[in-house]
Amino acid sequence: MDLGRPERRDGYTQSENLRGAASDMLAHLDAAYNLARWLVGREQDAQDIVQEAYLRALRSVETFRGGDMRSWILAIVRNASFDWLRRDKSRRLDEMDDQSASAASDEEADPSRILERAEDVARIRKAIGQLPAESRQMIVLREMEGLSYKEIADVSGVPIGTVMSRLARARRRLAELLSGEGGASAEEAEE
Amino acid sequence: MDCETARDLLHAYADNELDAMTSRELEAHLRDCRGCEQAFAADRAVKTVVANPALLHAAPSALRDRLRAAGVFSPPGTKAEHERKRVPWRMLALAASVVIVTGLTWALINTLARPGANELVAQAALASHLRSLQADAHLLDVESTDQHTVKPWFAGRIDFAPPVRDLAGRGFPLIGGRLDFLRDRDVAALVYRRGKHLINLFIWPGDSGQSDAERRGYNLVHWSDGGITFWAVSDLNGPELHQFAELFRAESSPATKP
Repeated sequence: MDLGRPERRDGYTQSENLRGAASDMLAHLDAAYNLARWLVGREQDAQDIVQEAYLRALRSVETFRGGDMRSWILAIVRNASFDWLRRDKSRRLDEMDDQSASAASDEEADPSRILERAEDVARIRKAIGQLPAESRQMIVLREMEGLSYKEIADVSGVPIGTVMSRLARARRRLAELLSGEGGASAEEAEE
Repeated sequence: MDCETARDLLHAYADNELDAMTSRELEAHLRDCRGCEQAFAADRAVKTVVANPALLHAAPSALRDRLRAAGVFSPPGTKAEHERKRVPWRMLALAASVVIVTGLTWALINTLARPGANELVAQAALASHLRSLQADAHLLDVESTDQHTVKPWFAGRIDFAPPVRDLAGRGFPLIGGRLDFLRDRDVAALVYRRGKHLINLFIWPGDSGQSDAERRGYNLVHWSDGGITFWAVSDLNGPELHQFAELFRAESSPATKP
C-alpha cells in the first residue's frame, strides 16, 4: 500500500505532486506577503516580489527535501526582498538609520511608556519602519509570524546566535523608538 | 549569574527559547536585580506592542488573482487538464483522502503496539488539521468562546465527555469545536487561536503516552491524561504549542473528567 506518497513526507519528487506543493505554498501566502510588505514597504512591490518568489519556488520545488515548507517559502521571499532592496538605491537610508541607532542605545527604556503606545498602530508601524531591514525581518518573523529561533535561522541563513543578537538589537532599538527617545517623537514634540 | 550574562539571555527567555535550568538561574537573578528586571520588562513591553494583529498585512486578493493567472494555483503542464477536469478531480481528492484515512487506520491497527503507531496518528491528525482549514471545509460545528457552551454541545454527539478549557486569559482563546473523524473513530476537535494561528486539539479516549513531531512546517504535540488522548496540531512554533499543551494540562483537574 502506498501510504507515503499522499503525505509527501520526503519532498516533492513526483510531477503530480506539484499541485500539492502549490497548495501547501499557498497556505503560507499571508505570511509570505506580510514579510515582503514589511521589508520593501510598498504594496505593489511586495506583490511583485511574492509573485516572483512563488514562481521561483514552484520551478525549484524538486529541491525541497521535505521538512519545513513555511521556512522554505519564507526564505525564498526573504531573499527576493533583499535582492530588491539592494537594487533600489533609495533604500540606502536603512543603513543610515542603523548607525543613528547605535549612538543612543545605552539608555534604559521605560516599559510603561512603551506600553502606552500599544493601541497607537500608526506610531508602532512608523517605529518598525525605521528599523534597518535586517532588524525589521527579525521582528516580523518572531513577533508577527511566531517563528522559533531555529526557523528564523533557516529563513535568514545565519546561525542561531546571530538571530539572538540581531533580535536583541532590534528590540532595544524599538524600545527607544517607542518610548519616545528616538527620532520619531522628537519631531512630534517640536510641534 | 552576573548582569552581563543575564542581559544576553533575556530575549531568549522572553521568547521561551531557554532551557529549564538556565531559565531558573535567570529568574533567580531577576528577583534580585532591579536593573535587569527593568530591562526584561522593557523587552516584554516591546513584544506586547508589536504583537498587535492590526500590524499584519494580509495578502491582497489581487495577489491571489495574479498567482492564479500565472499558473501557481494550477502548475504548468496541468493547467488545461485542470480546467476540464475540475469537478472529477475534487471527487478524486475526496476519494483519495478516504483511502488515506482508511489506509492509515488499517496500518494503525496492524502496528498499534509498535513505536510507529504515533507516527501514523500524527499523519492522520495533520491531514485532519489541513482539511479543517480548507476554504470549502467547515472548521466549527459549535462556535463559542465559552467552555460551558462548547462542552455540552458534545453531549449525545460523541461517546465520551471531552474536557474543554478556555485559555483566553493565557493567550490561547477558545473559538469553538466540531466533530471530526480520525483513526477508526469519531473524535472531538477543539479549536483555539493564538494571534493569527489556529490550533486544532483532537481528543479521544485512550492512553497513548506522549510525543511531539514536526511535519511539513506544522507542529504536533501529543499527550495522554486520565485515560484520554490529546493531539494538538498547528502552524504555531514548537515552544508556543508546548506552552499551550502545558496550560491545557494544568487547567484540567480530575474532578472534571467523565
